[in-house]
Amino acid sequence: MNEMLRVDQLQKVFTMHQTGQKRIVGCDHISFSVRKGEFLGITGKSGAGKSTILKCLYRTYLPTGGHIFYASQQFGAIDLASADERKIIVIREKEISYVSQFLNIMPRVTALEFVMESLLELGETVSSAKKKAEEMLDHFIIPEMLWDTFPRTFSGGEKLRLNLARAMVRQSKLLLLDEPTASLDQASKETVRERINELKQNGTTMIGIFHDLDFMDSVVDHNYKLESGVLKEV
Amino acid sequence: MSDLTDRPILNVRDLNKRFGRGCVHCRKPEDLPGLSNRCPYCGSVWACIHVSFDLYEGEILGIVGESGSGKSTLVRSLYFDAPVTSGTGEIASFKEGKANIFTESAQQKRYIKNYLMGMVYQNPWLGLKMDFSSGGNIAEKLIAAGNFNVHQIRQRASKLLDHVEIPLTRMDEKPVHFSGGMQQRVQISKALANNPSILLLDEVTTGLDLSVQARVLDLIRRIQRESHTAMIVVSHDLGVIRMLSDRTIVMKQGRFVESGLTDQILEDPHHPYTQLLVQSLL
Repeated sequence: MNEMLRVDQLQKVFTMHQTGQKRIVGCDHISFSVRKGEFLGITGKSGAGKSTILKCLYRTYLPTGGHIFYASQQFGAIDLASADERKIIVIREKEISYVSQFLNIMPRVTALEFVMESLLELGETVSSAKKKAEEMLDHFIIPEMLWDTFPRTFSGGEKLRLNLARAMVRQSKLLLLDEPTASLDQASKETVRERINELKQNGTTMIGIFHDLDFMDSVVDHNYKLESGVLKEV
Repeated sequence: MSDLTDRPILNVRDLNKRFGRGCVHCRKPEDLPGLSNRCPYCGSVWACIHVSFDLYEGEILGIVGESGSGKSTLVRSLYFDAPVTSGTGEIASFKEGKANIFTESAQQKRYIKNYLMGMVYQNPWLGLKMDFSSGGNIAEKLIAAGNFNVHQIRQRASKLLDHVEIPLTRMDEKPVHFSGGMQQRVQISKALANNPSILLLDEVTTGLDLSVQARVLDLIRRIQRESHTAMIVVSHDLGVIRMLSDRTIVMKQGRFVESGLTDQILEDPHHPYTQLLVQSLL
């Protein structure tokens, strides 16, 4: 299998100018690699820096040091830590998806449209995108009566499942999952597990952060623990 | 967002805009003391200082900053409402991208405004002729671009107004009788009349109530998705920028202080002013 992502000595330091130039180390000396189609799980205490790593990979955080080598379909080997913003935008649109714990949605966009957008960005036709989005909403047990409503008023679990549906409706090259099972009941977790396995079979590489260790053990190929700033394979 | 294109459709380099006559102490913006943009001797204000950026096809570029930071002056300069003091601007589809649009003749500037750019002002009174009907406002823009067929003009106006959810029964009404949100939507349809490749939006949701604001934001996003029009969205509202733009530039006292991916600017701001701005977000 080919290497999909290699993180080399990743460092993120936040400098807080409003509080006397305070420096907060988000993560430091983080190195790991993941092959195509593998799922790498990261666990650790709250505040250990797990989300910081994920956000650096998605370039929501600009790394302070180190490299993130990614095998892009569009651009070939590329260092996400220093790549041009325009390339990052295209990679996000076409290759890398990110599931956060929070729903960020435009006003007046329905749940169905929210999921469809993910496919329309890839150039799918409206009818095909609609069909796939409906199947995915159904898979994640979002009641049909909610499909044409605005998700701002959804429950926490529904919002998370909607986020998952949007990210997992497409076959991303790399999928980043930040606590994908937080606030989900057992039945919903099962739907997430099923979809993760389908994506893996189809070659999607995944990196996920978990607190639910049982769930993580059932889906990941490699289990890393972040402790005192050190990332170790368990 | 469209696919990556190597060449920007608009590139601006070293744009400077001074209000006031200037004096021996402020011939150049770099002569100003400290980080101020106001000359202490003659009171001239440099609203834009060495502003450089690229705009690509199909992207929404956000410009954010406090009142008086120069963001509205920037888009007005791009739309030739305020003559620039110095600098260059090139549009890829105008003279093969080899001409400085700021030094072109008045006739060429009119061509750019009629065919290549659209502008939506914060104040609809600046963008609309209130004594014309809504359809008449769109017709004015179409006629300016050389379209004199009444039937075609009416058809195009109907289509545009329908697109921005203005009931066609109100096409012959004057926008002065419309609500603020409707006026903004008529303005947007007028700006889009000739399918410009660049749309400039200056604080288009400021002063609108939240439900109307949501409708306008939704409309802008829909237009961008359907037509791949490149847009520059100016706002002091980080929420609007977060919803709309792919990349964001932060302005303070006429200068660009930070730029980056919008989520990166909001979650990992580096410049002290950007950090202050983000921390002040409600």
